[in-house]
Amino acid sequence: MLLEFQRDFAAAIDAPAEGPLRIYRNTVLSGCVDALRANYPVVVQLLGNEMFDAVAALHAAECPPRKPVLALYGARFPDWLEGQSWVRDLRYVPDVARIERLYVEALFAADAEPLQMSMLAGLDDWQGLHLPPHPATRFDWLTSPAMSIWLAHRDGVEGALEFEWHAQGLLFTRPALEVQPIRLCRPGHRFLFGIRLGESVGAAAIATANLYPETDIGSLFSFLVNCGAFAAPSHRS
Amino acid sequence: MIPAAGVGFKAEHFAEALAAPAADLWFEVHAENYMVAGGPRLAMLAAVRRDRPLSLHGVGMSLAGAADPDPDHLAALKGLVDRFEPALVSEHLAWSRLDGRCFPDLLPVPRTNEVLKRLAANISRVQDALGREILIENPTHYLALRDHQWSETSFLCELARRTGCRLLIDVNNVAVGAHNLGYDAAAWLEAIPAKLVGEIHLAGHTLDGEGTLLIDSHDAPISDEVWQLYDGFIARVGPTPTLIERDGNLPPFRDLMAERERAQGILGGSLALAA
Repeated sequence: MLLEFQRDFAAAIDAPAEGPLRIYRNTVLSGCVDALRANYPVVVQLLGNEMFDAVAALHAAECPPRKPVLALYGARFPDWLEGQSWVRDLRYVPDVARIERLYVEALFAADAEPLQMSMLAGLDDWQGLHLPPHPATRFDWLTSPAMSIWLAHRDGVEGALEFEWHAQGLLFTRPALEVQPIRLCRPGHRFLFGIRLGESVGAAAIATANLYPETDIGSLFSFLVNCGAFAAPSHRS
Repeated sequence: MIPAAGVGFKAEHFAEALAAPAADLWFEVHAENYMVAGGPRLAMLAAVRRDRPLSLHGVGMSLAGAADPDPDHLAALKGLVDRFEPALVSEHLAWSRLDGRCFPDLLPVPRTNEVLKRLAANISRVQDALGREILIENPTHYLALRDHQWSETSFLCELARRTGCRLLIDVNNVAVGAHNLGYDAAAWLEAIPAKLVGEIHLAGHTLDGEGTLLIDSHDAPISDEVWQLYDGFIARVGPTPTLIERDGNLPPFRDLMAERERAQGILGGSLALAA
């Protein structure tokens, strides 16, 4: 009986409603839209408030929250955007959304002490060295200049921006409490990708050097370490 | 916990909240906003908790739904309770989860024997998992549901009797419900036994766009009517931890603290009478 009541009530507030039911419907909808606004602030800027709210309401109807933690709602939004017909004219929008999603993941990931180069002093078995990425480390390689667009809009730019259309990499780290946005080069992406797949530092370095022979792997590695991309080895090991 | 007045904590007020000199000030947060693995948001709450008592107010357990509490959600709540050792933990007489979907709202149920049994079982599960009492908040009402078998106040009292939980009485919800459904707010409050009241919420409401229903919007100052009801309620039940709730149209921290001082004054007057 209770389950039946709940299903009838849910159906009633999913349909355009009048009077008291409209209040429930509005609260449910605005809860989802506000959560998406909070998690995709640059997409809000790119689409404008009115269009974003309409798009977010449509997304919320098709992909409603599955968990009550709205800080993490919207994981499916970037891929869903990719499938919308109007996005053909705004091809970078789903990629900007992907960046914002990775930012949210980095922001709320578990705390951990970042690895520092000094912790590796005296080490010579690079082939045997497996480094865990820091829990907050997120990276991607995108086929649009979405990272430049995201970086430019993050602080709220006015007017039109011109970008050269080329692929870009991005890295988010959170060595302390703040998320650090970093432009990631192709070799850096290959290196981190290998680490994420479980390659040792030595194996990832060799594979990266083979693909990108002009890269100074030592500098790349210390750059990534200094960004906070890896977690310090736990005290147990 | 000292029966003082507290304020809903907002990140925008972090620095002022930390610096506030008020004696016995405490803060409440929505538990779900902090159910994340780590990062600055949890660090901020830890800093607030260092100096002040905390109340964790859950909005997502869906206690009045047909399903058992979500084990992941319960584990997340327990994680917060273990870490932050809140003085108070509360949830709602509402449902917000159905067939794998979550509704960011507090949805109503008819007060039937079946719902009573279900709610009591769910509250007991949560209390057993947390190893402590929780407070259950009376809902806002917009819609007159058919099929009630219990009055709201007797339903709440029976839930407390069956589970050992106590009640969080939201005076604004009583005022809004009384307006929307046409009952007497003062008489409603009169029917709540003093010993069951573990916390009180005060908030503002607004009139719906159509001009007929009051909305429990938490986006305006507390109304005169709610202050009056609160005054009368405290005179009867005695000093009780009282929260100033504000979510929308967030005013400067000092405005919330002014409402908090007014509540504190009412609590203090009651303390003086009791002495």
